[in-house]
Formats: sequence, C-alpha cells, structure tokens
Amino acid sequence: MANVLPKWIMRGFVRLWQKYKNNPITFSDVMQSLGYEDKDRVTASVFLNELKNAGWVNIEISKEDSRKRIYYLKPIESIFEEIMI
Amino acid sequence: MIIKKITCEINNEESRMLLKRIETSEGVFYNRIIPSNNSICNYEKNREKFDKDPYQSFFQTCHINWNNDKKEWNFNTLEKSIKHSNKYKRALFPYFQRNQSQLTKLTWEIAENEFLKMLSMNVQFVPIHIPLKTTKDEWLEKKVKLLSLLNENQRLVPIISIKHEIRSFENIIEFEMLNSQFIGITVYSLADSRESIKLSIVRMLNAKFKEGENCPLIIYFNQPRFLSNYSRVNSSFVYSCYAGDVFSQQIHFIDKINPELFEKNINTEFVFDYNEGVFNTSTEQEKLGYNITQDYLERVPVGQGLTAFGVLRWFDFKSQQILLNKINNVIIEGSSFNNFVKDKRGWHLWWRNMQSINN
Repeated sequence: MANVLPKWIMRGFVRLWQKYKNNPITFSDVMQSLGYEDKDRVTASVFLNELKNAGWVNIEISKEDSRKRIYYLKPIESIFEEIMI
Repeated sequence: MIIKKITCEINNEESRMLLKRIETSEGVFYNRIIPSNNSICNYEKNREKFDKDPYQSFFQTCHINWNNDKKEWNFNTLEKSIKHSNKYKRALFPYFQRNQSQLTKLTWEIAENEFLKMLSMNVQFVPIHIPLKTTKDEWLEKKVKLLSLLNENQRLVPIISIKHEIRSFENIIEFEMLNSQFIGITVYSLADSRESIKLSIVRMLNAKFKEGENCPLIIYFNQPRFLSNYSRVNSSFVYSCYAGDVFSQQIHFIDKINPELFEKNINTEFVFDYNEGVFNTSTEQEKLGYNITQDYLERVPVGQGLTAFGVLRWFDFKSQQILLNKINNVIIEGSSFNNFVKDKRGWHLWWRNMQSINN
C-alpha cells in the first residue's frame, strides 16, 4: 500500500521522475538532482526514507557494493492504485 | 495600546504549543507574532510617502544600538519608534542589543540605569535586562524595587539571557511564568546544546498552562533570521517550537555592517521560501522549480519606498507571519500538527530533530 506524501517530498519525487522515470537511482543521483550539498546528506536520507515509508519507491541492494542501495521510483499509475486516502 | 489580559485559549497536546488570547485596547489578537522592528519601521515610513499600507502587526520592537565611538546607547531610533508605534497604536518593546562581551559585563548598576532611562522616556513596556549571575532571590528583591518605580500604565518586561546559569535560569523563568505578563529571552543561534536544554525548560513550563488560565507572552529577542546549522530553517518557527510568542530578530546596525555586504548580488541573497520553510537563494529555488525572489521583486515595484533588498525583507516578514498564522489555525481546527509541518522541508527536519531530542 502507498500513502500520501508531504509536499516537499512530492516536489522532489516529481523532479526525480522527470529525470529518471523508473530507472535505477543512487543516493548520489538524488543529492545531485535535488541540488543538495554535502551538508544536506541528512535531508536526502530523510527524503528517501519518507519515500520508502510511503511506498513510493522500491529498493534493492547494489550487486557491486552491498553497503549501497539502488532506488526505483514506482510509476505514478501503480502508486495511485495502492494509495490510501 | 494597553494589553489587558493574556490567557491560554488552547493547549495543543501534540505540539505542546499554546494558542494565547491577547486582549488589548485595540482588539483581541493571538500569539506567534513577528513584530515590526527597526528595519520594518523604516520601510513603513518610506512606504507612507507612497500611501502604501504598513506592515500588519500590533507589536513593534526597537533594538537599541550601542555607539562604540561615544561608548553610550543611541536612543535616536527609540524616540522615532515611540512616535511610530503611537501612530499605529502598537505595543512597543524596547531592547538593548548587546554582544556577548557586553552581556558578560552587565551589572545591576548598568541594568538599573538603563531601566531609569526607559522610565524617563516614558516607555510603556519597560525592559530590565537581568545580569547573567543573578539568582532568583536576588531577582525577586530587585523586582519589588523596580515595580515600585513604574506608573500604573507601565509594565515590567524582565529579559533574561539564554547564557544565564541554568539553575537560576530555570528558577527565574518558573517564577515569572506565573507572575509576569511578559518574559523576554535573549537567544543566539542554538549552536550550544546548553541553549537547547534551557529552551526545553521554557517549553515544558509553558505547556503546563491549562485552558482559561492567565499566562505570559514569551518574547524571543536577538535570534538570527535562520539557523545555518539546521538547513537554514526560519528561526521564528524554531522558537515557536520552544514556546515563543513574539520573535524579534537580531538587527544588523548599519554602522556595524561589513560594507562588502552591500555589494551582494540579489541572486545570492537568502529569502524566506514559504514552500520549504527555509531561507534559500533564487538559484536554489530554481532547482525546485520556482523563483520566489523574482516573484517578490515583481510584486512590489522597486521605487515604492523600498530598495530591492527592502522588498525581500518586507516579504520575508509577511510570508513568515502568514505561516505562523497557519500554525494557529491548525491548533484551532485541531488538525494534525505533525502532518502540517511535514509539508515543509525545513520544518519537517527541525521537528524531527526536536522529537528525537525530546523522546
């Protein structure tokens, strides 16, 4: 199931979707695409955590480096089917 | 303006914030106020020449500047502020803006002289800056004497620094919460964790008021516009979370400003981004798909009494006040405070940080 996103998370999701659709994204991609600097790493973590908790993203462990995560944004159609209002 | 009564109208359990009802000679108002200050007062005077509306606030503060050359306080701005506040029927709260070295050197002799000067200028809300090492007992003794010097229309505004010794800070605040209509607290940028502990004490004591009880207005003085260490979240929100009712930010007096600051490009100027609840630049806003800085500049044509920087400051104040009013509405409607703050990045991160400290 999916939940409604806070507005600032939604804005970030839209920006990422416009750039990546459901292609794989790394933490660095998120930092770069949303204009976060090194001091904003916590912000990026909170952002991804909120997406995960709301069920808007699928996560896989990187095959090259098990410490890293690969994120896949869910297509909006499937989110709308899962969303709880 | 006469402030007749301040009561707790709603005590919101989720946020531990209060909605305070302020009954005045000019009507009823609510807390979480960004007052007109030295800068806004100047902008208002300039706008008057173009028949433009003043900033909508029934509170005004005046930060008094120390003249380093003459080694004395400069009261010229206060004289003008008194006239200006009378014109708009506002409650005026003067404040002696000190650096940390001046604060350390503050003695009762200095504080009492400042108090007497305020009396001689017939200020209605008379500040008394409590020296750093004052204990509660010493304060109570002084307070009796100071109150005896006020006329019936004047009110004492005790101002304590967040740098005050913690035990005395707690004791004085606890006493004043129940015995004073106003409490001023000088704060900095929350860079020191001891400041957060003292502010949590203020928050905890404030949250004890029950609906219908008399309570004080807590006025935070001297905070920066935003907290650089916390995603540049606006300080009026941060101090709202610490029971603040009025937020009078630090004034950068012209004679103390580095001239290079005047040459800054408008695109590098931090502006309050009401979408994100942070201060950011137009470049950063564009990455998010909008440009609030440009929008502000277009909404008030430069030349109507404001410079480009003046326009940005004017809207910083207005847009922050609009959001603070929304917090009041959330409390009145009883909707989820948590969901409300989550919509804004700066507020979300700050609130999350506060929850983790307090839980």
